[in-house]
Amino acid sequence: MTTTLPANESLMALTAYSQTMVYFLVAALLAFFSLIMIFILYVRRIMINARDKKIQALQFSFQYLIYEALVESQATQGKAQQLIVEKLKKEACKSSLHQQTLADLIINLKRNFSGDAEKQFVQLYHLLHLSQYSLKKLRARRWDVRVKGIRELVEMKQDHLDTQLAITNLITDKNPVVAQEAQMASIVMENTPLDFLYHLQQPLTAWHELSLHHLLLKLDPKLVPVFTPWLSSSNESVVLFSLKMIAYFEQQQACGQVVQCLSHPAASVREEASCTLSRLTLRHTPEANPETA
Amino acid sequence: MKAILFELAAFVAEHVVFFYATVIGFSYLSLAIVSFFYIRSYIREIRFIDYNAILSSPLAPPISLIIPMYNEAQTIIDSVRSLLSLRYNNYDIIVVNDGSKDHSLEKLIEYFHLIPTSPMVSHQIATKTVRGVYRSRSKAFRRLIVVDKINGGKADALNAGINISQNKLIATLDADSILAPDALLKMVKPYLQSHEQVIATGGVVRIANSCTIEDGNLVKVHLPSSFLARFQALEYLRVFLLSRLAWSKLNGLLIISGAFGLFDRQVVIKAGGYSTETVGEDMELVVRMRKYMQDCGLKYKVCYIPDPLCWTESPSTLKILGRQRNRWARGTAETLYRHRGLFFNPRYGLMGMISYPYWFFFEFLAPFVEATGLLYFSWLAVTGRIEWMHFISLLSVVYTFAVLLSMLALMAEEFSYYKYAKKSDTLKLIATAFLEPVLYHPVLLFHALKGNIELLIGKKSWGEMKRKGFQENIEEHKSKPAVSS
Repeated sequence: MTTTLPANESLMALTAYSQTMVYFLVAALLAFFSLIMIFILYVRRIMINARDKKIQALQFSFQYLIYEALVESQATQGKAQQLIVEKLKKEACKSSLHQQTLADLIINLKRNFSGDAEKQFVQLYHLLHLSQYSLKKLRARRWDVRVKGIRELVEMKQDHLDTQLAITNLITDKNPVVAQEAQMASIVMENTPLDFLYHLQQPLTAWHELSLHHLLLKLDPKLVPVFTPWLSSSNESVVLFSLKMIAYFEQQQACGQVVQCLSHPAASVREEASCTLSRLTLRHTPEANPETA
Repeated sequence: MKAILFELAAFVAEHVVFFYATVIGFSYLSLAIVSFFYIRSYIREIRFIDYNAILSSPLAPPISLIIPMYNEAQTIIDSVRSLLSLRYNNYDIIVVNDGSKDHSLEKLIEYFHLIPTSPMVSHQIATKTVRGVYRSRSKAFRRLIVVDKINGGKADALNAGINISQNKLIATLDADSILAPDALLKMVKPYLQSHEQVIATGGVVRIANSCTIEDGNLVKVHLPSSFLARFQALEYLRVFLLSRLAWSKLNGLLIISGAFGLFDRQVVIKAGGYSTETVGEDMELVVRMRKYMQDCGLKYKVCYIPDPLCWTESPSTLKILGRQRNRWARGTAETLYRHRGLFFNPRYGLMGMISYPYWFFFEFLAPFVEATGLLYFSWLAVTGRIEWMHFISLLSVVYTFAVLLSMLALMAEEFSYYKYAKKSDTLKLIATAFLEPVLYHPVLLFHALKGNIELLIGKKSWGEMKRKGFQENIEEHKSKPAVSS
């Protein structure tokens, strides 16, 4: 057994002491981080409240100017409107918060109107160069900003060629939310909706199908395409989606191609084709249709 | 020789415990970081989601909401009424009366004008005898199905509900819980969105004590007024927002809370349904479903979403809390023992190599390690060997770390759903975070140990859970003027 030397003892004591100090230091650091978090919790609330109040004040002043711009334009054949538009442009240039508040306000107002008033809001949006502001968002690094840009452009019917092109470029975006949003936008903005289905590499998710269907229901029924071209797609999910849509929109003219799908190599497609056929034929049997009966 | 052995044991104890504490600390922090990123991206994404697309779509999958009921006469009518008004188009509600001894079934029959029917029942999972199935004469309650069966426990009641269901998805809910109106819309979203098969989804469960509840609907959120419920509110924030979300992101989640979960019915049936042999049937089912999918070589996901969708009444006395935690400890131990073949088994991928060992070391073993540490400390104190400065420094690290974790949970809440919006509520939660490690944690430790010991001696009971009932919350808030947030 070794005897403990005084030198060793003092070394051990020193090690223990420094260890204790390290622990205290770690505890102090942890406490410091906790305090920082308490500070963030407190400051964030104050900042959010202040921001909300500022937005409310801005909305109030912008609302007044927009109202003047719309009413005065009718009274003075657009001269007064030009002045107010210039004033709004100056206001919007002050900060991105000003610009975004103005854009959000016009979009919300536009949603609540139809006919001429709706057109005036769209025109005002364009005159204030807010469409350029939205277009710029499509090049943002953050995916949510890109999605917001697409939404704004679609909502404000900014369907110029450059806008369409910029949105089409996002159809193959790496972020699935951006890609899906761009695809939805292309349905609303382009004359050939659903063209992106020809080039879709990824399988469609159920959510994607549901969103597309939801959007197609909002379209003018004449614009809903016949889904037969996509029945020969190499993307199995596209074929399945097309079969579901043929059944839902009762596209009788597609019956022949649906029958061909019964010999598709994928079992899921064969199953869906059979469901589609039964739904199509059930709806058009003489018993089901009193006129033909 | 004895002294050397003692020194060696002390050295091992100190260093092993130190290493254990360091690893557990880092894993908690890593999970918190993953959770923060997940919450941030989720919150950004849901700003652009139009849930009405699901609500109105014929493509939305049908769901059966299964509610096992045992002596819930106090709350069941309000609960079912609230569930009948959920925002989802394609769903039915299956209430399974598990041989209640009170008037739960009679109350349901009378209130919802139920009459016996003979539906098609697929007996794919064995259950105790079903005495009858009831449906309402009223069209307003056409979604409601009530199953009356001989008492067989919660798992057996859920299995009976699964047998009755004809739908692709099943959601299970505790009878004493309240769902947010859009709970099904949000829970079904991961199922629709994923390229891989989603076999189960869970949502964040919150404490409903002291909240204003009218007709089974949550009207106003309040922080629990009692200290015990407030400790649990903070604990739930930590567990759900920091831990489960992270495990979900890593696709290593082993549990979906029994209070509310959504499951793929076919996978549940193929995996064998809920086990009636354990008191931790919620965790056991998820582990078994995952194991089934891995054995079949199928790709799958178990998801958790940060939305506060389910509000539940937490135990309001120490005695009931003790029973609940005792049961949870036994449930964890039983599940881990039953599926011990997963332990560091590379065949089961992340579940075998990380999730299972994590649960074993840091959920199951944690109370034992902690208790060993306390015993060792007590022995040192009795024999006068404690270096008090060293002890205080270590204790302050453990304490400040516990507070830091709670603060992270509060931050996650602040940056996500901000449910406790009043400044005073946040201050109370901060104060709770400082008190919890000293006042609440020892209680949990005691009951976790007790649960494991009782499991060893063969105790199997569920433990009676007396409910205060939400009606009292309304009374409580009627007597107090509500302060707007």
